[in-house]
Amino acid sequence: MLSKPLMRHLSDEELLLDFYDEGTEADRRRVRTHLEQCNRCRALDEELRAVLTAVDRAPITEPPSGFEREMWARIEPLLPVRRTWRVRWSGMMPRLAIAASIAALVVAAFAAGRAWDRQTPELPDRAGDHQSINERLLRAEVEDHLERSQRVLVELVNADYQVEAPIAGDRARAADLVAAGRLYRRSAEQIGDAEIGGLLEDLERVLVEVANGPADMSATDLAHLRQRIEDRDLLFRVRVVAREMAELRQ
Amino acid sequence: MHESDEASVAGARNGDREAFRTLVDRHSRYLFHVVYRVTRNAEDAQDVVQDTWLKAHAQLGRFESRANVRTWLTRIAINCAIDHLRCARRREHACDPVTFEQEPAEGWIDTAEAEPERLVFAGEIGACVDQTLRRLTALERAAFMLRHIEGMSIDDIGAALGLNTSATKHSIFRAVRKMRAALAPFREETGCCRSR
Repeated sequence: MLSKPLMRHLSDEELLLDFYDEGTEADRRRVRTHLEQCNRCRALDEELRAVLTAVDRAPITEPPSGFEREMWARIEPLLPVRRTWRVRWSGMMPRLAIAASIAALVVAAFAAGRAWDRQTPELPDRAGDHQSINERLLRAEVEDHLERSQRVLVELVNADYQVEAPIAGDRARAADLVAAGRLYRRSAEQIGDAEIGGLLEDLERVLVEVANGPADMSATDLAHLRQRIEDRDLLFRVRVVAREMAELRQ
Repeated sequence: MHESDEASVAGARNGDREAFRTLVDRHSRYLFHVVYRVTRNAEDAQDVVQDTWLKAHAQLGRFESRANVRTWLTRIAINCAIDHLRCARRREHACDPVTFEQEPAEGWIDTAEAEPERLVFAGEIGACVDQTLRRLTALERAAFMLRHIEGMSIDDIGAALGLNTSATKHSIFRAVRKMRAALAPFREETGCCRSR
């Protein structure tokens, strides 16, 4: 019986939270005090504890012996090859070095051409030739960059929502493309090619999102990314510019 | 020398497969137990443990060094187990995933009508508990087992299951209420569940 008639009984929830030590210190003290005084709640508490103790008797199945070995045999072939940052950089350096060299050459040629124009106006064609050659080099590199970016975009657009980590393989490639693309974009901007600069900037935004996103991108995130590609007509623009560049080269 | 879990995660993150294998060797059995408590099926549990490792490998970069590796793996495993149950339910009943939180298809069986005389033995109380656990919704079972067996706090369970604190508490309350109802006849008739 309750010593104080107005004291309310404890709820199942309160008893359960007390059993699991989830309440505050004040809650625990209140429950303890109440249980000392109330036979009904004490019986309920004992019953609840008995039920929860019985749960511990639920049979648990053990995995077969050698389970760990079998588990490794199952997952090992499915693990993607992860590259360390050293490997990643060593793989990326030649392309980055080429991109940086070409970018530097184009900018230097452009600057030299302008200086040459001022100092020796009678020989503008040689500087123009250098600039033209380096611009062609840059265009060839950008063409290659766009083709490789196009492959990543196509895979993103066609990725299967149901597949585990649908864009896992694209992340490393996107990271490589971001670094090189940034150099090409700056060079394009410096030589005043706004069209290529704008395209590379839009491309870079999507590639950064892929490179920094989770490998197991959710269906919602993937849909959002596709929408961005579609909104900016990115795949179409990349295809058109890459084709134009190829035609010019030929 | 025994490499710490954190060191193994760091090694695996840098592409060291042997470091990842160390984690697999060390935690697979534990993860099986955790997952089995949610799926109540050994074959499903093995598949879920496999999914757990693949997901953990994909998420190595997201592991925070101050977190506990086993807790991190447990969260991934529970989420994989719930996804697995969702997919299984969808395949079997071709219905909305919302049913994940509904009662199992065959409905709740009142154990008072299910041969009470055979449950007078203590060992059979375990079978009754097992049967009752199978009949909880996946969410109730996951929340309850994480609290009761794994000793995770309600806040942590909520974070793992994507529920707020109130919803997490109510999942656990519902599970316990069903367990009490299922065990009530044996307690009244045999007293075998009464605590001493």
